[in-house]
Amino acid sequence: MKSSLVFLLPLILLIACSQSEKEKEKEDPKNLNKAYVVSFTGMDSLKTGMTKAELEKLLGMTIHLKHIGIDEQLTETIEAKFHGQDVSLDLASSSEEAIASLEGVHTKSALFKTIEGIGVGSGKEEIIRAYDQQVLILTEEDMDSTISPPGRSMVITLAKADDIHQSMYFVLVNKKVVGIGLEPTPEFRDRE
Amino acid sequence: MNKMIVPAIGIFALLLASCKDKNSKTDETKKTDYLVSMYGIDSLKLGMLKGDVEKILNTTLVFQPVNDGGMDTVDVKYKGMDFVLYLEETDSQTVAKIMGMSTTSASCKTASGVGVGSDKIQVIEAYPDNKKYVASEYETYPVRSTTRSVVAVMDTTESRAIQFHIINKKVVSVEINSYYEFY
Repeated sequence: MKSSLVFLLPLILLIACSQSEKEKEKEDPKNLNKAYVVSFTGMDSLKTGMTKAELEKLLGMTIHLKHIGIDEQLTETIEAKFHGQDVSLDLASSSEEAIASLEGVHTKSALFKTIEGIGVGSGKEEIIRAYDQQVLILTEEDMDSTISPPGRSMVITLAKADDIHQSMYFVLVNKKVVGIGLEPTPEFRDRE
Repeated sequence: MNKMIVPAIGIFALLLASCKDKNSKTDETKKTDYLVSMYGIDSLKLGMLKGDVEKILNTTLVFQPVNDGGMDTVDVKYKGMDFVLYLEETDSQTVAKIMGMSTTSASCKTASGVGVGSDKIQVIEAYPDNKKYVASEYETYPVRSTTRSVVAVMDTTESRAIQFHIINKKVVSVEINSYYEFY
């Protein structure tokens, strides 16, 4: 009995410590000043091309797919937590392999910013100035209210200058960024 | 003596007024803007046949289509301004039509007053409802310029576009195309 307690107690302590660390990461006010870099290849350690298994390991969760490998649909979006923040993950699969991998990611968290400091809260002109020599696609339209709150909405897509198929995008409402993400550039998705 | 002064002042005032009138007319001429739209510039319109353009320009255009392409560019003067017209063969291949044009003239402006000399940000803000491609131009593909860029404003329904070519954040030329695809 005593010997099993000797093994169990440290284990319980270890689990409790790890849980409290996770909670701290979520609530720590220092986290609010910490920005995670968004690039054409991912958000911090969350990288496009990661397989479902790699994502599960990074996020510490099991991903239950409802479409890929189950029905005809080759893409699906799942909600997850990353660094304690809400993120939407766009998974895709080629029809041959039926292996889901990360194609895009979106967040409304202000903790994710580009290397130029653009993120939730940035202004339209700030984006245009920051990427003066890049490729920007400005689309102003009525957005799906599930993506952005009501108001004059637009999406600014920043395509990679030397490979316009890769892009980051900023969702703006009334000229302020309310969401940031990355995905294959929609305009050039089907172009060689 | 007084009798002489009154008519002299009158004549002087008349001369002054006529001079002022001439000056104001000159200013008006300088201020004349030619409307740039998705359909053309002033009376030069996309889709216009070569013969109709020749009537407007009062000249004969020499159309020498590039091998296989069926297209040619022609430098012309329109109302004293330098224009380049882009011509293409029509389906019958016997007549050409305008598929695009460009000008460096500051007298050609959009309805919102954007033209040569306008700021890049002014161009972007002038078309709130249109999709816009903003990119640095290619020096030699795939190397993009650090000073030259373009703002391509797409038509809301069709593939027409107005392109504002920019150097150091100022518009230097305006181009219209009946078909535009960003690359």
